[in-house]
Amino acid sequence: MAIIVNVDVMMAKRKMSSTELAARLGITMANLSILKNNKAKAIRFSTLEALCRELGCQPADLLEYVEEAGGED
Amino acid sequence: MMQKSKNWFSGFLEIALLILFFIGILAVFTLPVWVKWYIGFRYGAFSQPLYIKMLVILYISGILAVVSVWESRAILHNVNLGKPFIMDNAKRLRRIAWCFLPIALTYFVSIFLIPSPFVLLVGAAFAFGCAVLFLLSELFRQAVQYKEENDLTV
Repeated sequence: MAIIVNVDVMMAKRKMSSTELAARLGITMANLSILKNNKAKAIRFSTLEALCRELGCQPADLLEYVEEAGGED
Repeated sequence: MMQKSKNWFSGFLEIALLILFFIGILAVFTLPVWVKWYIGFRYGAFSQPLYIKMLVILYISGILAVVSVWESRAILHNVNLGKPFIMDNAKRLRRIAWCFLPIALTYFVSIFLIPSPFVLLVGAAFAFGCAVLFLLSELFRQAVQYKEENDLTV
């Protein structure tokens, strides 16, 4: 996937554990893991909004576009 | 969330298909014996050309039918494990459809060798089954894509 989710980077900066963030966002650990491992195919605006609120950041801090050599995923 | 099927019937059907698979293998292996017996029983005397024709038709359809039964059992096994919408099932459905196509063609060609309305009927049934299975496999493939999209949306 050409879009990289940098949730783990922001979590490290805020010194927040996965369990705590999942609880604050109201999502399961499994779903947070999907986000952290870049397995997600889509992210809801409500989730993105909650992430930005809890981590005190902007969507651009969480999402990054990386050009892929092998074309689309 | 994956949940194991609690339907006793699909569990029973899986075992029945497994038994049918082994019966199918046995039937294919013993094909020369019982085709010879059938010709003697049906026509009174053994006919070598008819024997060869029937053997070719039944070997092609028999082997492909056994493969189809195996694939059906595998699909049912996945369903019983609580995983109906996976790409493996879509692929297996397509594989069964590909097995049905040569069976249908064999029976259509067989009309010239064994002229009988029943041969045509069997061919038509397999051709129809093949079309339906292709449609179902495409439906499954798209359903799996939707499901994956939904499962991986956070």
